[in-house]
Amino acid sequence: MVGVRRTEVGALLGFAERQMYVYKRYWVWEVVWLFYSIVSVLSIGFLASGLGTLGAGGGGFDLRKTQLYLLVGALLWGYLSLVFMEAAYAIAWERWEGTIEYTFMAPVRRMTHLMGICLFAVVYGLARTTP
Amino acid sequence: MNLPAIDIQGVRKAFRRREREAGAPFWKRAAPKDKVALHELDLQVEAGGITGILGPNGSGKSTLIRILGTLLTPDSGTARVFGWDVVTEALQVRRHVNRVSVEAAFFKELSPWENMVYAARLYGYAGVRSRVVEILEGLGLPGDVIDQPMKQLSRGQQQKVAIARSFLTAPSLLLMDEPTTGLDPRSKKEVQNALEKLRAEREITVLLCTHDMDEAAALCERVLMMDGGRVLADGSPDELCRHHGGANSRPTLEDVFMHLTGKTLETEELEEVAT
Repeated sequence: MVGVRRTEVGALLGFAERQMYVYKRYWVWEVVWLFYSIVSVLSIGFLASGLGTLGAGGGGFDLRKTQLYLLVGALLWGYLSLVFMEAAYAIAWERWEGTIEYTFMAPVRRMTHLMGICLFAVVYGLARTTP
Repeated sequence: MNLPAIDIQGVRKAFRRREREAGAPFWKRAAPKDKVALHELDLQVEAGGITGILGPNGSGKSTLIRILGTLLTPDSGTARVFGWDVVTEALQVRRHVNRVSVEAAFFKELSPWENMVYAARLYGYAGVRSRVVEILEGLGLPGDVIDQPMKQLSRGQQQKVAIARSFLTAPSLLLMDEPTTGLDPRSKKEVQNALEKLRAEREITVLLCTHDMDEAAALCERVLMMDGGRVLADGSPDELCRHHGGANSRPTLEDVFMHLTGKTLETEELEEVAT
């Protein structure tokens, strides 16, 4: 029983250690994700800074108008993040599937590739955000 | 005047690496080193026929294929495909080239039909279902696999779909990078038959990289033996066996391979040039 527990604990540490090695190998990506997190947090601050125009600082605070304002802001940011994420994943998808060399060998311009991905991202983002 | 399918003059390609020394912290890298994959390579391949490239792992075969497929840029020299430069006229080259690699490169969740339609669009062809079915059936794939996810197909079937995709885009130059590696004997034979069928159907030039010496002897009119980024021998399988077969009285391409690549082992250390 003790032996089994020791094995499980060893395996648990093994998983954690493997993740640490992977994150160390791709440490540059951490800079990218940090930037993304900062922009996400700032977007909330940006929405809050607009509350002043709705009278949040004064006495005439309109709750419904504020709710609508925040809702539209969150939806817009959600839509933009989806579009940016899909466009950023254009290459990541190809790498995961192992098709990147095949796509790059096709007789199409890189811009066409990116615009095609963006076209889908814009429509997909609308479909996800509108309902 | 007929242009050669492939015309390579003095192509050199090296990869710069900053490798970490054993035990060093992960952010510390050693001074960069150049690993030379191709040494001033000269090569001409006439249109039509199958040319085999044999050589051990790391001999430069795949680098050569990637340069011809416009995926890599040579450090020096020129490479032309049907007269078009692979660097300055990459789009024209890509219109006439397709590749079948060791790993069937597909979106594995999509079906053969969805992958083929995608390929057809990229190459400016109409993805007509009847044509796709005809090609797949011609390669011996049962009709019911066309709408199954690629991941449910065997490796042999996936490789056949890869070949079918290249048929669909009608390339003039087909780059085959170890297309039968890892396949069982039956699947290997089917892929080889598919290649011979393609040759019989239309004018196509095939560059076949393989580790399978019997495959090269059976399919190729001309064989290049490469090692360390250099062509060590060039000729028909019979010529190579006659001139480089070693002491064996009835040499095979395997004898040629062992004979030629064995000689170069001592010089392998020279491949890495510190810069």
